[in-house]
Amino acid sequence: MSINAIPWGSVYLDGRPMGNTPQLDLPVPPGQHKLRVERQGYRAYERVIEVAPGQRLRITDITLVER
Amino acid sequence: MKRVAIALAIFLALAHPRDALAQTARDLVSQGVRAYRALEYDAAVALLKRSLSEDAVGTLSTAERAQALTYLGATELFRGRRDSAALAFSDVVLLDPRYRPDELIFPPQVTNLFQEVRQATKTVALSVPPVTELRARGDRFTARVFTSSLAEVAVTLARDDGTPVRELYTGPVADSLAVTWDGFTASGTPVPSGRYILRVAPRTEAANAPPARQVTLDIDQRAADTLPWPPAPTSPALLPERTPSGPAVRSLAAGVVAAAAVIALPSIIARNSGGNDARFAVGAAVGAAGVVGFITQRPGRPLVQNIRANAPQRDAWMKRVETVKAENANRRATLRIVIRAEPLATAERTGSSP
Repeated sequence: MSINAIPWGSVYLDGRPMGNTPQLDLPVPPGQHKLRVERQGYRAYERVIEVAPGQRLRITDITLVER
Repeated sequence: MKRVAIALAIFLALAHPRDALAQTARDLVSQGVRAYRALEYDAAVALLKRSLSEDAVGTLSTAERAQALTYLGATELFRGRRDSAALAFSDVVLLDPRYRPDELIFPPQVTNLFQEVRQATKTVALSVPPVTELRARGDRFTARVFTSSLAEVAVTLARDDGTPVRELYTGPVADSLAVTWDGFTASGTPVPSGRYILRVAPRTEAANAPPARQVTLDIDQRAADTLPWPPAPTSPALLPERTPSGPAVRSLAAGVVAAAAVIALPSIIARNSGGNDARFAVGAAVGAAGVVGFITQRPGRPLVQNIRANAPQRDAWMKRVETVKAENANRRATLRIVIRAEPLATAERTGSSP
């Protein structure tokens, strides 16, 4: 899975920190996962994603909105 | 329709090749930024490098070039090419030591590397206003010196033939420094009109020393404009201050005419009647009355009441004259200098001060 956001934020997958955006080719096991991108002073982006085996998922249009 | 659009684009490109080139370079930067955000790093690098290629030299502004180089550096970093990223960031620092990557867009791994490169890349920059108008000893011309990291510099002013005029600053600059100049030479005389070089040079001969930067200043010494004299008060604002000539002349003329009539008319109307001697006496008396009238109403006598009434207006005018006289003396004594800056240039290293 690849993720990017403006402004940059911290990526959490199923509650585990994965590092800052951008994240390229993050390995994710197949199944349902909870994605969260957060940054202080901004509303967090949250989404449940379904990853199929072998699927390459790209979410690069995340825009974090100021609180 | 599509053919028409293509033909129009070609026509515009031929008509304004530089504009078209600039537009293309800007489009490439925009596309490169979009590719970076979409994590298409190979495409981003290709697009950004094309936007910065030799074909596009001079078509992008400094800010646009710095933006393109920053995205290029960030892309290279995320591709795992740290050296290429550092090289791109180094170019940004050399281009504009004041530039910083946007901390909202670029995460700490990018901004930290940029900061490291900035500290390691020695460069100086100079910024001056395009036009400055100053009155020497009063206003001051201000130039800003920027360095990417702590550096010893010398800021000097010289004639365009190299003759030194004045050293404006010598010492360390950690980030930026405002250097001011009052328009005078080192010996305290105002600089004559002409072309001058303002230069900031690192005070080191080290091989990795940053190049000196300089700007040509076109200095024009101008005489100050003086104020016109205030118009003197005139009638009808002022009352007449001397008696007019009209009444006196009229009295004299009436007396002379009447005397002539007294003497001449009896001879014409009653030639044989007596009393001829008396008419001369009467004529003389009438004429004398005319002369007395002229003397009593003689022209040019001062009218004291009117002079008193006019005095406040006349005094106010005299005050205005004195004010203008003082202001003009002040303006003549104050030097006015107009300084026009030409585009900045990188100086040859041979001239840097030790």
